[in-house]
Amino acid sequence: MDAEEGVEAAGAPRCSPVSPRRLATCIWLARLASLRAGVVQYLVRQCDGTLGDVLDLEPGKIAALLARRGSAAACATRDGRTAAGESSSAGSGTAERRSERQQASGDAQEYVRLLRLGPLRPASRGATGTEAARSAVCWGQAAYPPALLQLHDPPPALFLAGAAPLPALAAVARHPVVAIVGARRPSPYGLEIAAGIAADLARLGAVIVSGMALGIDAAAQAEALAATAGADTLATVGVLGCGVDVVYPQANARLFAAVRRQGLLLSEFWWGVPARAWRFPARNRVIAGMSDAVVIVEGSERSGSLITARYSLDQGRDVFAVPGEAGRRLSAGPHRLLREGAHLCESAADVVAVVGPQLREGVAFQTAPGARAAAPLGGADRALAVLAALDDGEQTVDQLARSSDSTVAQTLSLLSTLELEGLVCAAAGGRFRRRRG
Amino acid sequence: MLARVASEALSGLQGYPVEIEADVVAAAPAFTIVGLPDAAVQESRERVRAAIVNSAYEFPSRRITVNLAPADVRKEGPSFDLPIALAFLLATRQAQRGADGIAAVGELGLDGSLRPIVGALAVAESVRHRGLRGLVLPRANAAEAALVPGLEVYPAETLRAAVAVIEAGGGEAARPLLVERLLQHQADDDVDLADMVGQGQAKRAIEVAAAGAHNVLMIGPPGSGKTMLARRLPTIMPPLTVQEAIDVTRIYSVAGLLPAQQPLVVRRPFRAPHHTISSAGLVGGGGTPRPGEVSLAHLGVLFLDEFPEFRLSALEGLRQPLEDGEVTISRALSSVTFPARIMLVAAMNPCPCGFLGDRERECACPAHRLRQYVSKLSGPLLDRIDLRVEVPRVAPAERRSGGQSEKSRVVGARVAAARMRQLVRLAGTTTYANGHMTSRQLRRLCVLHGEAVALLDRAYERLRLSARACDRVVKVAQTIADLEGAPRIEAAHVAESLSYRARGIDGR
Repeated sequence: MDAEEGVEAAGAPRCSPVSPRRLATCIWLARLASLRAGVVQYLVRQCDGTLGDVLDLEPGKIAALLARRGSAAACATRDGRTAAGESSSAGSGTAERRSERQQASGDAQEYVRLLRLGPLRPASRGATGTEAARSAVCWGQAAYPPALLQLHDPPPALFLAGAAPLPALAAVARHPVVAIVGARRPSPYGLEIAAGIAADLARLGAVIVSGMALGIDAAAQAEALAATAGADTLATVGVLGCGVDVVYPQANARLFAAVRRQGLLLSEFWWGVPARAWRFPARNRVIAGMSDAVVIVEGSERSGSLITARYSLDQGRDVFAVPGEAGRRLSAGPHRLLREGAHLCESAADVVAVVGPQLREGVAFQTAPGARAAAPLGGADRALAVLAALDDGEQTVDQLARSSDSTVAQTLSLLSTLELEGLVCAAAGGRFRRRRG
Repeated sequence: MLARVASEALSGLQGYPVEIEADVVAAAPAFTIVGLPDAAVQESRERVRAAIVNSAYEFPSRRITVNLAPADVRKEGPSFDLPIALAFLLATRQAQRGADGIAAVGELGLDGSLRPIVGALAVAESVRHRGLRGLVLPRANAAEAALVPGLEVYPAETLRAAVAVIEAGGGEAARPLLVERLLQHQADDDVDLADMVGQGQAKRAIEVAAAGAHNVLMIGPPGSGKTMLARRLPTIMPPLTVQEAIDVTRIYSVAGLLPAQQPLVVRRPFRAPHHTISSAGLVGGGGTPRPGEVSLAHLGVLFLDEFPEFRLSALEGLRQPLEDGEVTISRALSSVTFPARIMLVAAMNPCPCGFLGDRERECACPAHRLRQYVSKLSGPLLDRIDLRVEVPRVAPAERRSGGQSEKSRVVGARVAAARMRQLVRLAGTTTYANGHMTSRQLRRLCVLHGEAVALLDRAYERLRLSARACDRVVKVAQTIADLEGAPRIEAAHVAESLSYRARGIDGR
């Protein structure tokens, strides 16, 4: 496709019109940055200024600077490997490593080719998908999210997918934006908390931003969509570590379709770019940059969620951590953040209480969520005994039978009824617990 | 001259008559067996020759032809040794025929001794069925054959002893065995439900399973007691009836698994094949079809530990036996049906490493491995498993303070009473337990209280149950009601039944 076509779809900027040449440079830089980590960061540091200063340079000069950075092939491989080592975003199988190395060398060739071509030239290779469905927003255009301008290495361009991507992007600027991220394989507790917070915040008019990954990300985004079903509001934005036309992970295909229909998918990576380990920390930087607050729901000491939290702290965003059970691997990440001064988050109310007053002008949560009242129970002693026992934590059926002085059969029967009432739910390992939210 | 001896061959679990004809003529010396003999039958020439010589008979230099009639069915195994030797001796006039009507089976040793054969019970039944009077067979098989009423069983230890029986047209018959008495005098089981500490939930689940003949899936970490529980399930099932004991014994006899000192299987079988078992090993098969583990578990328990690790082909092969209670194995020349009315007890870890949801150890399985693990359980197979129960690891403190548990005998009595109620309700159908009810029978015979219907409807909506899952819930609720002696299904029964879902496995 012609690089300029993609930009025109972004619509006419309302102020400070950006020259077509500059747009082409943005797209060109975005494509280079899709193939190799740290392109923008390197250029900004070389210019000792902002991305604007970089874009003011002649493309030839930019190419020369990048060429000076060193052997692309060597760097791409090294970047890829170090990023994979730091983040837990990718599997660690040898086959995956090998394909990643092959991919890296392919990326390096493409990178060199693009560097030589420079902007403005029509570039059809590497492009997939229909032209009409494409839209992009470049740095400097009015539609570009203002929050991202505060990054020291902002994406030169953002590629969008959705039913109405540009109005959606504009809606992001008018609403509170909360990122909810966490473990890809969370506990049922984590899933439930994330879903509860996402639903409450979405109902309060917030846009839930997340990474469309398995686990917490998907739960938060799916719940945000469900909570606002029927309402004509933007519920969720998925920020991807691959091209917006790539579905990764495949298991979330249904969620991808739903977000594409009702929300917005956004990526700083060129169309068709596959998911790779190094692209996820970069994606996390965009998630953090877009959001007014970040809620971390579960994650190990070395998880990608912590990377997101670090970016958020760098950019002065509020970081919230949901506490977990002491000593569990998935509690380590949030607890570390709490130790370092993150806000404690038990429900959407905690986020609203801290972030609400500091929101941008013209942006507000709709109302504060009320305290959750315990559902009334029809004086059943056994039910009360079971619920009281569950208030102390997860219990097996046998333990509950003993503490409520009833048979296993009676307890099972009671638990099913309470489960249907939404008061208890099954936890892993055959245990039951009180339901939050 | 020509001589004939009646014998028996096995096809599946059925004996069928085989006539052994021997003809000895003065011609160039030869010993030929015709009538579709397999390799083992061909080899019987050598055993017969040696046994005859070593029993101090003569083996003349003549042309000997042995025919196994009917000639169009393949004969296999060494059980024709004895009748071939007898027919030979009659044909060479080294033995004189006494009264007729005695069949013979048995394998010969080179010294003329008789070795036990497989399937003696089925052979004896078939001999009785064709109206013969008696059967001479190796002594080790005598007790088993003596289970067949109205048949004279003549045990023989050597070829000479067998000849004596044929010449006398009888002899000292083995004492007939009464199945009822054998069943009454069985020793107590060496395992008991009371051995298990804790695990009240899982015990309740197997009680319900036993009461309604429902299949069970147990999910729990290694060492939580799944195998122990499964092993105790037969101890709470109703005792074998006379006919059931005979049916099970026939299968074990054909499979050659009947213990030497035990003519009758008196306990419900418990089979626990390893997960590396082949499809043929599990459901039966082979060139000449042999019963597989599902048939060996007939009227008992088939326990499949590490359920998702079984070969897919083996698991899929379980569908027919779970549906029809029998396995049909088709071969080019014939097809054989083995009974396989089993209670399936499947056990699996919550995840490949086994520690998902464990309090003490973290699970280390990558997400995709977890999905693969669970996805191996096919929907059609899971649909035939009515109860799913989580078996958590028992905490050491709980193990110490376990308190008293019920004995198998106590639970077994409740189970037997519940089965009785089912038999009354299901009278006039081919079904005998709730677990085997079809959805039509379910709708016709199960009476739900109004509140139970309301609860079921709510569960249908809230838990997004499939129609099939709803049927399962009603079936199990009916069994719970039967255990309680309730005339109809109450809301509490439906509620308990709802708890036997596996949330992680299928969400239904």
